[in-house]
Amino acid sequence: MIFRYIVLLLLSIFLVACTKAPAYKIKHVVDGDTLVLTEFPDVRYDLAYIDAPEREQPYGREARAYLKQLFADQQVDIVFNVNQELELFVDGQSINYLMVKQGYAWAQLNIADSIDSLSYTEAQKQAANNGTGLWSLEHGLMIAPWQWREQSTERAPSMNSHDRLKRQRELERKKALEQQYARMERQREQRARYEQSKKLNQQVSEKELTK
Amino acid sequence: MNRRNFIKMTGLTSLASVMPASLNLHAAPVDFAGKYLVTLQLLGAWDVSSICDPKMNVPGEDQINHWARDGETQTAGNIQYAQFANNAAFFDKYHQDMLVINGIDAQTNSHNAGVTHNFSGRISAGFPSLTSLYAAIHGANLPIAYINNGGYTETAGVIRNTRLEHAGEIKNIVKPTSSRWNPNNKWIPDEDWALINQYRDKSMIEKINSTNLSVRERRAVSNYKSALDSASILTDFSTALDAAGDLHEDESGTEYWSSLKRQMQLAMISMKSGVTISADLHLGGFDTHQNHDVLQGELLAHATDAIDFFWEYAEEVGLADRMVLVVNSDFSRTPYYNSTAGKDHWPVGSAIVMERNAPWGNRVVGATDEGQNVIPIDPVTLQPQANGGSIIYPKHVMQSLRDYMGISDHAIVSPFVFNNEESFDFFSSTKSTPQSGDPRNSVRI
Repeated sequence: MIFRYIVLLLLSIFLVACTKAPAYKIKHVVDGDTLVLTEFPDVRYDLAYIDAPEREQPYGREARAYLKQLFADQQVDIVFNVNQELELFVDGQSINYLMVKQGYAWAQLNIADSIDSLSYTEAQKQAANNGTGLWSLEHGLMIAPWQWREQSTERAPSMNSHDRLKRQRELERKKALEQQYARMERQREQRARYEQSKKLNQQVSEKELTK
Repeated sequence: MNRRNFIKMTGLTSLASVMPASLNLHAAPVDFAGKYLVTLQLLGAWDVSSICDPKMNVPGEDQINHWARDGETQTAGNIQYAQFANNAAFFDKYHQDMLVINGIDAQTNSHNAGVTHNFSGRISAGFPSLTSLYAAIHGANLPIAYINNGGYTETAGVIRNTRLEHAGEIKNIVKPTSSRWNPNNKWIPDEDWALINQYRDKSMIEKINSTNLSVRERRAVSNYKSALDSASILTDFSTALDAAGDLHEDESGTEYWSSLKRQMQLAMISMKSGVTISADLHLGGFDTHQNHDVLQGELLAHATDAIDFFWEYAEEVGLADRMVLVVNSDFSRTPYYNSTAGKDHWPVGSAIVMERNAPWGNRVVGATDEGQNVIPIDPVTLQPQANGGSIIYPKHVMQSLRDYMGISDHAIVSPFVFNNEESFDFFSSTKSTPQSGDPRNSVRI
């Protein structure tokens, strides 16, 4: 009986040891952290723990090309996490980790919740310190992908409302000026009339005096 | 300091103090015979896939443009355009006079950074606009050498800029004694005004000849005198403004209010009067995150209509053969719609350069793929080159414009050199980049 248990235990240990992440083929790389598997051609999968520059973002093209080159048409081992995000392995090496280490991706902001947080953030720190990959970009071009996505929906300072406000203020100013000028003109006319009548009065009184 | 050095220093100081504050200020007004440079800044980001870099929809992908459901990519001469807004009339009339540069990667989708990058050639702040450099070189002594009505305004101190959207301000400066609403009404009688001017001139001569002014005082007097001398040139401008009659009123659409045509008129009248060399004109409202088709359509129609007006008016005032017009924006808009029928920001855009009878006209350089991503090109042949090709950045466009306008080697430009590894031959009359490399873009779905 004991012998049977020992055999079963050894067998289960053997089976666990032989269990390997299932291998898949990559159909299409969308950008540095998104891809489509041949087995599920209608689904776009994100890579776990990392955020690579968007395809149109500075270093986005390089990140995409690097990811493509890492598995170069060979089959990759894939582990799905609970969010249905992937961790890719080629020859036992984590591709997600390599992307961060080589400066082709940022470690995700919420990675602290995951088991690999330390190694990913440490790899990012090293890449940044060494100016590797995207960390070699000029300051103005080194934008985190989540900021990039946010900026893409940011609104321009509204020229329209600004213009309208400006125009409204200008109209008000113009109206006030017009009123002021009209008042001044009226005053001037009144003064002129007054001067004229004064002159007339003077002339009349002079005439009366001469009489 | 010994006595000899003290005398030397005193001599140098007095010499410095009698020199004008800026040699440019006292230069005689130039008889400028070159080209006038105008940029049209379409602020908020225009959608180039709906004008000069047309994109049809790709089967199985998000729709890029709703106009492509019924419309087709059109061609005028060698230039392709979108069947949208009033594009057909515009491109049919002007394709011979325009160079379209597609696939310019602004490397940002932030409005401020995009405007800075596209109009200065550098994404970080600090470089002056092309127009300000051109004005500084050709018209530093002119009272309104550089008009900037909005958008990118950096001059890096090479020249002052002037806002000129209304004619009233100029008339006030030129005729300070006249009523703004009725020039025949004088606040001060002409005889009195002449006396005041006489006294001012006399006092000015006394001040200039006096020996007890500090350096700062002398500079202030000198600047004041130069401003007065330059102001006399403005009289011609004011006379021309009066002769031009009523200027264009503001125009408006669903979501925009535009003074663009009046800006154009004022810029050209001032150029014709010899007081202006370059101008930045602006039209805002292109940030169509919602209701994209309607708003962008109206704005593009207004912009192309205004450009048509620009050339007609230039012809009318006799400047059409001397104008160079550069049309650009912050960047472009996404090759797909968001949930509110709008389009968000996309860094890959285009620029249009226009000039009457230009030998480099009727050409397109640069390219994007079916998803409006940049296709690298060979800088020399301008042919697409996926491996080893170069991407067009705003610095390349700016450098080639500097070269074309003949200012690249000028001392004023030397502190603002780009670190370009390659230069593109955009203004060659023989080379261009083939468009619509991906056949899927010409399929209607």
